[in-house]
Amino acid sequence: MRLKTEVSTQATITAQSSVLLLTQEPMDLEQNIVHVYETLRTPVYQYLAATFGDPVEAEDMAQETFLRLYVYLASGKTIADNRLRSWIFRVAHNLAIDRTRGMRFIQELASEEYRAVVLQVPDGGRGPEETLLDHERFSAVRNGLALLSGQERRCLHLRADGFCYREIAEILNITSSSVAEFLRRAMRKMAR
Amino acid sequence: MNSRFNYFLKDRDWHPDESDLLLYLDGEQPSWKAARIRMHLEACWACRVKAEKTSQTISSFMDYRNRILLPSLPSAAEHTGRFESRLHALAVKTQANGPSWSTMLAGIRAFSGRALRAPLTVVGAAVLLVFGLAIGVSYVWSPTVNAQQLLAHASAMEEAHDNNPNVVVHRSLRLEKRRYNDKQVLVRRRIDVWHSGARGITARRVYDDSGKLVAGEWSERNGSSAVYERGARTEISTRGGIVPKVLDSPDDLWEYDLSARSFEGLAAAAADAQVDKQGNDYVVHYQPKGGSGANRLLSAALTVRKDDFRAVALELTVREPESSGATAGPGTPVVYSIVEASFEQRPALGINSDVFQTDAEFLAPPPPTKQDDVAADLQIETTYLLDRVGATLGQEVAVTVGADRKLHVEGVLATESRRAQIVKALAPVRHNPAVVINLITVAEALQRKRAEPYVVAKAEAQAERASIPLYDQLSQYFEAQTAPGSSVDVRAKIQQLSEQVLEDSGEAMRHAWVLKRLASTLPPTEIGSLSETTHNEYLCMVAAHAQKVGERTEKLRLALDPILFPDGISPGMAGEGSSASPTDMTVAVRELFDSTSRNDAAIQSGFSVTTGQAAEGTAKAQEIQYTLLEAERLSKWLGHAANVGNCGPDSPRE
Repeated sequence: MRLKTEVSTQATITAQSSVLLLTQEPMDLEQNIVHVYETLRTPVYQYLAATFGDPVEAEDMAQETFLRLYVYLASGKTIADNRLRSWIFRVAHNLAIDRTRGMRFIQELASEEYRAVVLQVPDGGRGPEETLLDHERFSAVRNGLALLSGQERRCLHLRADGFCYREIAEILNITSSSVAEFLRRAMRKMAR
Repeated sequence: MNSRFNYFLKDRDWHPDESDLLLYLDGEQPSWKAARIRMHLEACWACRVKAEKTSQTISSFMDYRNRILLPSLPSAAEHTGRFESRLHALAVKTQANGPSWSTMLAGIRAFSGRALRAPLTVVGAAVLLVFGLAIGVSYVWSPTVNAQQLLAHASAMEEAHDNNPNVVVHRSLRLEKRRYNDKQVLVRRRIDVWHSGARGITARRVYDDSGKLVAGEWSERNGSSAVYERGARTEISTRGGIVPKVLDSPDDLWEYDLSARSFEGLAAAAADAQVDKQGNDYVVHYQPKGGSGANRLLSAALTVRKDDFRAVALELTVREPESSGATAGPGTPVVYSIVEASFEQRPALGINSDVFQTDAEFLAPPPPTKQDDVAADLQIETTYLLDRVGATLGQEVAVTVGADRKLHVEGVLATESRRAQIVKALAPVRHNPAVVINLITVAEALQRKRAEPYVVAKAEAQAERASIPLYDQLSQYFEAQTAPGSSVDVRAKIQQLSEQVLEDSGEAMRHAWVLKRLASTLPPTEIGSLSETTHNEYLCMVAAHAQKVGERTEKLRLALDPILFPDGISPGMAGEGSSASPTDMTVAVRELFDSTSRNDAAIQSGFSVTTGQAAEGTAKAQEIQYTLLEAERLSKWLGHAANVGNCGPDSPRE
């Protein structure tokens, strides 16, 4: 005898304007998880890689996050439609915190790699002077990012991913006022 | 009005701080405060500049993030396939485990909640009763597990684990062999397995009872593997045939991968297998139908953990084949068991890569044994047999000692009849197990390398102005020999002489090559350890080839004497010693080879047609004169020193 898994019948990923249907059948659930994974893997992976610093580990953690989503839904629990995206990021964040405990953040772009990437950035028809100014701005941001604490960096990237302060607070398990403070400090360091 | 004025005055002194501005820009301020800040910014240039500066910082960060940071990250898209396999394995496991208590309770809550909300509480109670019964039934009655499905699920889990690039798996297995219905262990081994998902490498080391490394296998994801056994063989192969190989030679069971995948290969008809539940494990039993005759497998049992679907034990009952180590006797049922002693997953980054390197003791050549002396005799004897049919000249056939300590006779021959001739000549050693003969014809070689273009060097006709460097000297000589008025073609005579000289020099060179190869095959220190017959054969070969070098060199000298050395030369013979030591002979062979090489090079450059400017003929002549003398002297000395008078009529073929 098998009980039907009660899950949310419809979850909306607002940032991607993509509607995901999480139906009750186990096989459909598996397919839907693949669909959710394909929709959200890139922002989750990018968040993990940019804030925890190891792309290979980030990819594995991103996959693990969606496997946990499967286990969660298959066990009969539900996720509110408008909370699916922040739920995924929260699980990814907690997973990353557990795995990288005690490890030092490795800057996302080593100097040589950064120089190579900057030189390959298309100038979009801008003149050499403007391209040079762009490079200076990039360099300033990169230097500013290197000064950020882990929480400041995470707040910044989650905000850039479109999460509001309340959602960021939920993901990071802190208060909204702490989010505001971390973002203010991040802005100040970046503006130097 | 007064209050408005006061508020305006008061608000002029107020300025939003950084936090307020950022919250305002992020839309996080309550509406009343947002309106206040908006009004303030309209009035206050300083705060407006601050707000714009914050916006610029945000803009710069987003620009950097979208144009530099995120594009520099490796793409996540390429791992979808791996995710799907992981998810599927998880789904299979979740379904195989059945609904959990939490699922059931969630279901009860959901259904009872709806039922209790209904006006008919009787219906709700009935639903509760049905659920209660269902829980009871599911607790008492457990569904039958299908072997095929179980193996498929376990295989999927294994594949997902094997491909995980972030961990390295280290397993320790215990292999034992005993007679059926007998507890006494005949053979005991410990198998240490390391697997890297990122590199796709599996290193398997086998230790005996005393902890000594006795064998190892290094396999890659593409199926290729290298198998080493101490003092035995190095086998490079694909793993495709491991299952039948295990049945033919169960003592090689250490090469078998303890996994559901391998068991699926072994239990060809997995549909016939039965599954038992034993505590925390599933045990898949397989007994082939009509397990007699060629089928040596009597039964197989694989233990799979329920927790993670990992294969942890294998037991095979087979009839001991005749070719086996015969610890139990051919045909006797024996039981092989592999049991997992330990299992650990470690982060890939912290693993020393040495665990995946082939151990040096497998790569190092084994120390010389008495068997090597026999191999030396066999090598000389084989070379001698080949030499009698002229197969040692040039690169036709190579005789080498392989890593398997066997003598390999390999070559590509022009025709089938030539191969038959050489195989016939090798008759005395052909059935020796230490000799591996691999002779193929050119046609067969071409068939094997069909894809490779066969480039035929095409000899182009030389240009009209082409000539040989010694042309002037030869021309003067032949013109002087020609009676006035006669119509002798000097050019044709020069060509004829050149062809002959080049041929003789080439032949001398080929025999010098054989001598050099013979000398390098057998170091002087080992010559003394040869048996008398083999030693004699060796010396006869040296003598015969040295004689051939001498004959060709003498022929060259006689042909060139009157032309290039009109003043006459003396060969300057060395003493005809008959008791040269092996070292002397080896040194003489080396010198003869050098001298013949120089001679050949000088003749090639002096008599070969060139399209360039004619070289200095005198210099060429002097060079040839010197090298000819040296080669002739050495070859004659060697011929006398090596020919101890016992050589038969056989001589190397031209």
